[in-house]
Amino acid sequence: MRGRWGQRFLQAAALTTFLVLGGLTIFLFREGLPALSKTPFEGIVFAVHPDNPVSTLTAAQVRALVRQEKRWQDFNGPDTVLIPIYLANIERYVPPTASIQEIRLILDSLAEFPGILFALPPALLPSSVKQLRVEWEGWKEIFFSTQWSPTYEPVPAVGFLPLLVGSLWVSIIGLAVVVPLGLAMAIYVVEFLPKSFYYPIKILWELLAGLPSVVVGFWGLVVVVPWIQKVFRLTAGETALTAGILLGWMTLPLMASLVEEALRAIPRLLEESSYGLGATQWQTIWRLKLPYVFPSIATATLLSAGRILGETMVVLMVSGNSPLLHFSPLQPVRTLPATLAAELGEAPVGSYHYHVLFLLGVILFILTLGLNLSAYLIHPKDAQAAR
Amino acid sequence: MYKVEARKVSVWYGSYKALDEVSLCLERNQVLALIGPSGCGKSTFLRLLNRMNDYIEGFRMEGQLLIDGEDIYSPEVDPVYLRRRVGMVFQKPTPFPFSIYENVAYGLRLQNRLKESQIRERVEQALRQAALWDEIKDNLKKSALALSGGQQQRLCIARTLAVRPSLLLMDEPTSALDPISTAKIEELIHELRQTYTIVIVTHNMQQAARISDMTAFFYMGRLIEYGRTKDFFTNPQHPETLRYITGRFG
Repeated sequence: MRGRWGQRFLQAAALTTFLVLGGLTIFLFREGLPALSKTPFEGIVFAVHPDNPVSTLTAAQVRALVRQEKRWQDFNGPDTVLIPIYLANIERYVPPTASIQEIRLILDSLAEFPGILFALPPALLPSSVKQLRVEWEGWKEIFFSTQWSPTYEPVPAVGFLPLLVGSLWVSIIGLAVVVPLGLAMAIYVVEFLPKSFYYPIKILWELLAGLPSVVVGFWGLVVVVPWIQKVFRLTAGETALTAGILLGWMTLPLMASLVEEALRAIPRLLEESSYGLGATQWQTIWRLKLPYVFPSIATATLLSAGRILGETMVVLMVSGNSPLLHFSPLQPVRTLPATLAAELGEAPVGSYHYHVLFLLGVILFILTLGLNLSAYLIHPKDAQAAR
Repeated sequence: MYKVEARKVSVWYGSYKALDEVSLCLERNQVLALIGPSGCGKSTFLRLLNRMNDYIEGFRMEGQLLIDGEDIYSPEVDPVYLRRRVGMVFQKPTPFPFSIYENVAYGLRLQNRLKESQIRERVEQALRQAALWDEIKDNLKKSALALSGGQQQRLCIARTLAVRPSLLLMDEPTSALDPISTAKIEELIHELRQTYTIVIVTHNMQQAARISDMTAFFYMGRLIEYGRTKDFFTNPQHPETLRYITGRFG
């Protein structure tokens, strides 16, 4: 009787875990996918002076106008200065104490300017203006734009490429650190470390694995950042390189443990066969053991890449958090998860910004899932060689 | 000069004495079978001959062990070079997870002084010697793991022969094989005795009788009886030997 209840309890626990994970995934996609269909202009209407011949613009063109990278003439508009008025800058023209009638009055008079561009809720829009159609192509903006400033008004830039490139830089550098060091560590421990040192070293190394990432980040901020700054003569030491190095170190225990396990699983007789043919220890390592554990090395590398890609706290602290598209590892970057951590707290629930951030979450989810799945797929299947 | 000569060889693993003053001599181009119950020291003795015990923790040895008149435990001897002269085949097939060709070439590449064309020649030669060439000559690129157990074991023999040892050690080479594969290996040993001196550990007394010239019976770390295989099985001198070969223990 008791056995059956025990089994039911285990079943319930497994089911709950499964449901929570499934629910999490569904929630992630449900909140993220609307970013592709929605526009950031909900409740906002764009309008221009009735004499302005421009009637349709793309979001990128409006952004360029507001940033004064382009002028009205560039779009066959009037030869005048642009005066943009949107919620974030309305205070420049309207005193905060103004009543709604006063605001209307001021906006009505501003509407007289031929170069005016309104981006306001319909209720505030003067009656004399002409509506401007602004085209928002969500796909293009998200996947091909090279800018990320999701709170920029009146037209946010939500291109995630700079964040992806930031993540890639950090991952590549992290892997360049963790793969050779992890291999070296595993080989050393298996081949050369005297047995009496093994457990102290192993405990230390597990400790490193369990170190809170905020501690690693803080240490990086105080020690590694100034060091990078000095070595490369930079104005700021918070770079992709800094974050990559730290993440590589952080992932070291994972990488080294996986490779160590694989090295220890090599059948004793296989090793002796190599020695029996006149191989030195070094030759046995290079010609037999490393090729033998190659699938495990690949798996460990992919899992490490997944860890590095998903790590948030350390990158948030030491990568410089600059969401600009950079092609040098000595520039500050911002990664996908760091962006989520930094911005999700200030994005109003249900806003466009909120949905875009969840879409980043979906992308991150797919990337890490892909890495983990491929790690799973290439899992060593030749392990039964020479049983 | 004997091919192998042991002079009062004793071995300890930590405080456990695995071999007790073993002395024997083996002529060139002879097959020596080592028999005895599990834990009797026969494998320990075999593994002394290519210094494979060196890696075991707490291993200690006394006495002298000579191959071709040279003390292989003298400090000048590099075990790596010794093992190129003394090849070993294990109780299970141990193919490396590479192609058939690379398996046989493995030992040759270690020495780094053969051209690829020479390696190819030696690989073919070794596979022919191991009576495997005709079966796999069109599949040299195939993974060695895809071969049958018996083929894998012959591949391991070929791999050992490719390095051109003069002494061949076999640690129960047929224990993991079916009767047909076993017969092929035994046939192979019969042919190899023309060129090599072979020391083979076996649990199978019929096998020892079939393939060996000399037989050594080990019991509890001591060499109980050693002699020509013909006399050994027909007229054992020691009561323990008689009890063992008639199947009363072990």
